[in-house]
Amino acid sequence: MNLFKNQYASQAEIEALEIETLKAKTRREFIKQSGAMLGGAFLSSMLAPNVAASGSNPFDYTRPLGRPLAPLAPPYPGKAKRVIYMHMAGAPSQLEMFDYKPELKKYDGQLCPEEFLKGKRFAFISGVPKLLGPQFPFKQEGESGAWISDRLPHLAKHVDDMCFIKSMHTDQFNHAPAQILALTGNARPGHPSLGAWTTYGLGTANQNLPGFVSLISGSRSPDGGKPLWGSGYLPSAYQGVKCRSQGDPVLYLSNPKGVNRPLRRHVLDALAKLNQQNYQEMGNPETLTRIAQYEMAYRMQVEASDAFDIGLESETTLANYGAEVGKKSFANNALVARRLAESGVRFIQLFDWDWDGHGTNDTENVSHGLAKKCSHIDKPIAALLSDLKDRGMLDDTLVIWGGEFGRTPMQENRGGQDNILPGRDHHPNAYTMWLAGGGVKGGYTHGETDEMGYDIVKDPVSIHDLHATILYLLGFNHQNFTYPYQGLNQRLTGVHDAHIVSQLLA
Amino acid sequence: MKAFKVAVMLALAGLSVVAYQSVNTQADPDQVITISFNKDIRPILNENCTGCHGGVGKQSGVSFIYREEALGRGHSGRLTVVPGDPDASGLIERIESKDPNIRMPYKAPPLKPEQIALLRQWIEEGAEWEEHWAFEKPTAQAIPQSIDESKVNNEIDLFIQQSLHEQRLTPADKAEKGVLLRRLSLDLTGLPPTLDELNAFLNDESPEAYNKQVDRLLASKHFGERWASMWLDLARYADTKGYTWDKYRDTWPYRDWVIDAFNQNKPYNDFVIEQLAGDLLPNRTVDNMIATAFHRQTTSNDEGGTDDEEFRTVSILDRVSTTWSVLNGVTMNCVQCHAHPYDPIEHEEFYSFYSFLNTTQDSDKSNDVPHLKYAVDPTKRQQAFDIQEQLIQIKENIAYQAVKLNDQVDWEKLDIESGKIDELTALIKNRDYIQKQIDQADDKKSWKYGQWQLKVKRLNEDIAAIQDQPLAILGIKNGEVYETSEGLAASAIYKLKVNSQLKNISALQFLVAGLDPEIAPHTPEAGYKVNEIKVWHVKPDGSEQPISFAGIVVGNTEVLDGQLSKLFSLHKQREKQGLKPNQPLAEGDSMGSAIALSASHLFNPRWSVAVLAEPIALENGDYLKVDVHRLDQKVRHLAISATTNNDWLKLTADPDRLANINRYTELKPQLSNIASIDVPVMYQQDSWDQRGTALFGRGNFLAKEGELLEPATPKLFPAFEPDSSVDRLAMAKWFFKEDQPLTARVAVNRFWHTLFGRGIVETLEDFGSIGEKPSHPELLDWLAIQFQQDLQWDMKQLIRLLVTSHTYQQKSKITEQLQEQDPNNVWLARGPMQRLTAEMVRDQALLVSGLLTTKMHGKPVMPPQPDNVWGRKGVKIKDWKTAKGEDRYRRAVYTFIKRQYAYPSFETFDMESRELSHARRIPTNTPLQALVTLNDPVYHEAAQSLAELMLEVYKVSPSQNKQAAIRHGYQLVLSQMPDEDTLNILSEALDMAYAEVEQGDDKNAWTAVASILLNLDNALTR
Repeated sequence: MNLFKNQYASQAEIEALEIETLKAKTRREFIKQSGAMLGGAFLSSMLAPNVAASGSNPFDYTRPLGRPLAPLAPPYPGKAKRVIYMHMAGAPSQLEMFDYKPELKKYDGQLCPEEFLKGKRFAFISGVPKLLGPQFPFKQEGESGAWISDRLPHLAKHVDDMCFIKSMHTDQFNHAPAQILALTGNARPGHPSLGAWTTYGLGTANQNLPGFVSLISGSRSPDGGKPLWGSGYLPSAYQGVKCRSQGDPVLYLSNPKGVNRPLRRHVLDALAKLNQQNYQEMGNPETLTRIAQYEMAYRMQVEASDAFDIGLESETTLANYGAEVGKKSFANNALVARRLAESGVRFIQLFDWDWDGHGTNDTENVSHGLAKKCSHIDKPIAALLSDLKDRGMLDDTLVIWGGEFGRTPMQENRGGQDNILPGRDHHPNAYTMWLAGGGVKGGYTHGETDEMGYDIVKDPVSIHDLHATILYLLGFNHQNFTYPYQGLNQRLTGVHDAHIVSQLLA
Repeated sequence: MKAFKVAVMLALAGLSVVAYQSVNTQADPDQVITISFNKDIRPILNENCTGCHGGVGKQSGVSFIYREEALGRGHSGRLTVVPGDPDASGLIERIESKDPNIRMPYKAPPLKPEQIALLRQWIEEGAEWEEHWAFEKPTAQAIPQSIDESKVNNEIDLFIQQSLHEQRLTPADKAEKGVLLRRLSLDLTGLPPTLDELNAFLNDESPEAYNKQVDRLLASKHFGERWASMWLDLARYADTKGYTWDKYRDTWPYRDWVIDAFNQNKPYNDFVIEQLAGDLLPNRTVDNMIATAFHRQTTSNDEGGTDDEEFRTVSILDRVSTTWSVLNGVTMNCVQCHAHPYDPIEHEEFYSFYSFLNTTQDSDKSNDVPHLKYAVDPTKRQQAFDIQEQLIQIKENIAYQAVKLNDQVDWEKLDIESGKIDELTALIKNRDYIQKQIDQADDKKSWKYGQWQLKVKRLNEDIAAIQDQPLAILGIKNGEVYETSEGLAASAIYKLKVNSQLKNISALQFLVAGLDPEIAPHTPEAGYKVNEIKVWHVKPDGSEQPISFAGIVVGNTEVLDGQLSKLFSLHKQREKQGLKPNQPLAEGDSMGSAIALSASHLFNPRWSVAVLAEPIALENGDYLKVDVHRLDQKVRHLAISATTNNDWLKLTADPDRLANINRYTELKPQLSNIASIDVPVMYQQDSWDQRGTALFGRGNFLAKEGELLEPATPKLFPAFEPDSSVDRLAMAKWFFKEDQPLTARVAVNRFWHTLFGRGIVETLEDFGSIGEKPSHPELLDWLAIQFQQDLQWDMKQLIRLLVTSHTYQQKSKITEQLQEQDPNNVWLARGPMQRLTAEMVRDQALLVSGLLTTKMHGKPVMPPQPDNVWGRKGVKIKDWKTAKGEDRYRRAVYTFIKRQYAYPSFETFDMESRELSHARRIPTNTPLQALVTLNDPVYHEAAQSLAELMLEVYKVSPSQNKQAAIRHGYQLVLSQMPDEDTLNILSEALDMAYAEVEQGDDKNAWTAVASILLNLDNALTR
C-alpha cells in the first residue's frame, strides 16, 4: 500500500488514511449481540471471534508503512476508548483508605498470630510483630454505602461511580518488581506496559500528540522506572512518552534559541522538497513517511504545548483540582490528564510517589504522612471524575487507581523493633484498587478480605485477571491479543491463568 | 530499510495464515515419497496442533514433538498416527470429524481440505519424520553456476543470483562510489568517510580500490567501536544495575574489552569462550576476567527488603536464556516453566544446563561482589591482578588443607542435652557495642549518629522489658539445636549443655545445617552468622574450667577473608608474649571470636573447627557448657562433634598454614594501596561447597522438584563429552564442537543481518521450528561452514567476505517492480538501505561538523542531556553532569547508560533498553525522532558547527562562494555532490533563512542549512 505515492502527504491525506483504516476495520462487523445478559456464556460468545463474515483478520495490527500509531478499531466492541491510570507508587495502605476493618482496631497492639507468619516472606518484618488498627475513621457514603476513609471527603462523593476491588493480590513484595508486574504483567523488565499494549492495539486518535503519556509527581519517580511505560519487545513507537511538568512537556518540543517558527517552516519546506526528490530517485516509501513525521513534529510543537498548558484553564477549574500553574504536583497532572484525554491521547499514566508507609519517617507512615498524601489526591481525583462526567467522557474513559501491593495489618518492626511511627510493611496477599467509567459497574465492591485484612476470603483478583478485564473493556480478548517474540505469541497476561472479572462490568 | 514491521498476528483461536508450500498433487506415480515433513507437515502441526499437543500441554496424552509420541496412544486409547494407514489414525479421524465436540483443532476453524489431504498422504507414505533443519549440522553445498558473470565477486553472489533467477529478478548495478563508501564506512566503523578518505577513494582508479577501502576500514580503531554496539545489545550492557536504586556499576572495562576484541580480531570462539568462562581458563589473564563481566550485566535489585536469592536466580535464568539465544538462536526461555512447546527440549534440560551457571560466587549482593580490582593506572593492572590471584590461591590452599583433614577425621557427634536463649545479655552486648561507637564518634550531627542513638534507646527499652524474665528454652532435637519458632529472638546467646562420652577431646566441630538438609542445597534457608563461641568444662560439683583454643580452622574461602586478618592479629598478640601462634594467652585470649561460621544464604552445611589448646578428658558427670553468640542473625540448626585426632593441633602450627596467613595479611594492603575500580566478574565457588540445582516446578524458584541435577547439555544437540572437568568452560567449548549445528549459522546470520538489514533467517533470536525459515538455506550453510572451517571463526574475514560481494555493493534503488515483488528486499535484487542506528545518528552529526573527539575507552561520559531526566538521583553517581571538553563529543558507545532513565535521543532512535538480551532493534520512524535531530541541543550544536565549516568557504567570497559552501556541507554529510536541483533548493532555503534572522547573522542562517543537511532522509539512512 503506497498512499503517499509521488506526492507530499498533507494532514488531509493523513486523515483520509485514518478513515480508510477505520473503515477497513469496521467492515469486519462486530458481533452484534444484546448486552442484556452478561453471564459467562455471553462473555465466551463475545470472545470467540466471528471472522467468517468478513474474511478480513481483526487481529492484524499491521499499520500502513511508518504509521505505527494510526488508529484501529479493536477486534471486539469495547466501551473504553481511553485510559487514565493513576498508580500510587510505594503502595498506599488499603487499611486506612478503603478496606475498613473494625475488628483490627480491637486487636491493635496485640502480637500477631503465628499462622500469619508461617512460610511467609516479608520485606522488613522480622520476628513476631504487633497488629495495628486502622488509623482513620471510616464512613459509609453514597447510595452504595461504600466504606471510605474520612481523609478522602471529596472522593467520597463519587463512590457510586467507583468500582472497588478489595481482593487484589500479587506475588511480588518489593517495589520495583511489583510495579513492573502491575503494569507489564511480568516482574522482570523487558515486557510491554499496559499503555504500550493499548496504543499498539488501538493506535491513537490525535497524531499530533503522543498516544501514550506518562506523568510523574511526588518526590521521586516510581521505583520501576522506564519499564513501567516502556514498550518492551513491541516497537519503540509504543512506549509511553514521559512528559515533564517543567520545561518542555515533551523533550525537545521547543525550537532551539534563534530558530523561530517561520525559519523552522523554511527548513521543513526545503527538507520536504529534497526528501521528495530523494524518493523520486530511490523509491523508498520510508522517505515519504519521514516527510510526514517531520510535519507531524511541527504540528506537535504547537498542539502539545497547548495540551499541557493548564494556564488555559479557568481559576475555578484550577481551584477544583487544587492545581497551581508551574507547580509539580499530582493535582496539576490530574488536570493535564483531563486535557490530554480531551485532546485524544489514548493512554494517560499518572504516577505519584511517597505512599510507602513503613512508619520510618515523617512522610512514609500510615498516620499523618498518609493523611497528607490523601489530601494531595482527594480533590484532584474528585475533580477529574466530575469533569469527565460533565463532559460525557466518563462512559468511555476507563479510570484506574491503585498501587503495586497492599500493606500489612501488622505494625512494621524492622529488625525486630517497632518502627518509630505507625507503619505497615509490604503486603502482596491483599490490597484494594478501584476503577471508574469506561464500562465498569459503579457503586460496586468486589471481593473481600478477612476481618484483619490479612488474606482474601472471597473472589481473589490477580493482576493478570485485572489486565484481562481492562483489555476486555478496551475491546480485546487477552488470549488472542498477541505479539510474536522469542518463539511465543506473547500476551500481556503471559502464560498465566487469567480470567475476565465479569462482575466488574457495567 | 524495512519499515516498521508488525508481523501478522495469528489468533490462538487458530486463524490459519500458514504459508505452507503446496505440493504437486499430480505427482509422478513412480515417485515413492512426495511429502517433506519439514516443509509440508511440521508447519501444519505447529500452527494448529502443537500448542496444546506439545511440550506445554500434551493434552489427552497426545503430542507432536517426537515421532514416537505422535505414533503413540492418546488417553482415548486410539493411536494418533498409524504409519501407512490414515483411516486408522486418530489424528485424521479428529480433523475430519463433523462433530464440533470431537473435531480438531478444538474451538477453531477446521483445517483446509488441502491440509487434510497432505496429512493423509504423509501418513499413507509412512509418516516419516525429519528433524527440524536447524538441529542438523550444516552440510557442504554445491556452488551454483553463474548467471551474470559481470555481477559476481564471490560465491555469495552465485547463491544470490540463483534465487534471484528463480524469482525472475536480476541483480542491480554497483552503487555510485560515494554512496558505496559511505555505506561501507558506516557499516564497518559507524562513521561516514571524511572528505580526505572520500577523495582518496574517488581518485583511486585501480581495480583494487574498493578492497583497499575494506581493508582500511577493517583495520580502523573505529571498527571495534561500531561492532561493539551490536554485541553490547546482546550482552545487555549498561552502566547501572537496574530496578529502584539503579546504582552505578564500574563495568566499562568490559565494554572496552569488547571494542578491543573486535579490533584485535579475536576469533569468535575465543571471543565467546572468554566471556562465558574466562575465569576458568588455565593461566587466566586480566582480560579473561574482564570478559566474564558479560554475564554479570544482569540487572540486580538493591531495594530494601528484597530476597537476594530470588534475584540471584532471576539472573541465572537470564544467563541460561541469553547464552542460548545469543549463541544458538534457541528460545530456551520457553523451557523455564515446561518442556519446549515446539522443539524437542525437555523442562529438566533447562535446569541441567542452569547447573553449569549456578555455581558462580555472585549472589545479588548490594555491593555486587565478587569483583576484580582493576587498577585505575593501566601500568598497575597486571600487578593488582597478580596480587589478587595470589590472595585467591592462598585462601584456597588454607581452606583445602582444612577440608582434606576434616574428611580424614572421624567425628563423633556430641549430645546437646539442653539449651537456653539468653537474649538479654546479647542485647546488652549489642547496646554496649553501639554505645562505644557513639562515644567515639567525631561527627555528632551525622545521620548515622542519630541512628545509633535511636538504636540504643530502643535497645534500652527492650532490655528493660525482658530484664526480669526467665530465659527461653531453645529447641533441641536428636542432640542438635533445632529451633523453628518464628518468634526466635534476633540476637541471642545460646547457652548449651553438651554431653560427651569421649576421653581426650582434641577438637570440636561446630556445624550449621539447614532445617531441611535435603532441600537447603538447592533452596537455601536464611543466612546466619556465629560471632563467637565459648566453651567450659563443668564438673559435677559445678566448678567450671574455661577451655582455651589453639586455633580455629575453617574450610571455606568465602569466610576466610575476614577470618585470616583476625587470626593474624591473634597470632601476633601471642608471639608478642613469647608464645607460639597456637599457644593461647593466659588471659583475654579471644580465639573463640575467630569462629567464622557464617553464610549469607544457607545452602550446604558449613563447619568451623575449634582446636583445643590442650586435650580434655570428661569424667563421669562432667559436661561441656557452650555459649554460642550471635547478633542480628539467627542460627536454627547446629550440631557439635568432637574428635580425639591430634592432627588438628598440628595444623594450627603448620608452617605452611602460618606462612599463608602471614603472606595473605601482607599482600592485602599492597592491593588496597593500588587505586582500583571494582569490576563485577565471575568467580567459581569452592569446588567442595557449591550450590545445588534442582528443577523449578513451573519455573518457580520456591517450588523446586526432584533430585539434584548434574550439569548437562540438551540431548537434542551433539553429545557433551568434555575432555576435562564438567564445568562452565567445558560448556562454553561445547558450543564450538565441529558438529554443533547452530553456533556458526547463528553467528554468520547475525553479521549478515547487521550488514544487509535482514537476516537470512529473519528471526535472529529464534532458529527453532517456529522461527522464520531461511530465505537462502544453502547460502547460510555455505557461510556457516566457511566461518567455522575455512576462516577458523575469523570475524573480520567473514565481514570482508560479505562486503566484497557484489550483492552488498549494489545500488539500493527500489524500482516499482521491486516494491511490488520484494518490498522487504528478501531476494537482494538491490543493495541494502538501512536507517542509521542511534549511535550512528549521533556520531555522524559530530564527525561531519568537526566536533567528534576520537578518544577511546574509559569511564562512561555524559554529553548534554536535558535536566531532570533521571527521575531518581543516583547513589554513587548522583546525577547527570554534562561533560566539559572532549568528553562532551565522544562517540555514542561511550555514553553513560542508565537503565532506568535512558539517554533520551538514543531511546527515541530505537536503541535497546539493555534490560534483557536483544538480537534485533526494530527501527521506527516517528515525529519524536524529528524533534531530536532538529531541536536536541546536541544536534543544534552540530548544525552550528557544520555551519561554521560552510561559512569558512562562504566568507572567502560571499558573492561567489555561496554554492561552493553549500556543496562543501552537502559533501561532508552525504559523501557526494548535490545536483543542480538540490543546490537550488538549498540555496533558496538559505535566502529564506537570511530573511528570518537578524541582519548579518550569517551563522544562524547557515545553521538552518546545516540543520536541513543533517535531517535529510539521505543523511539518516545508509
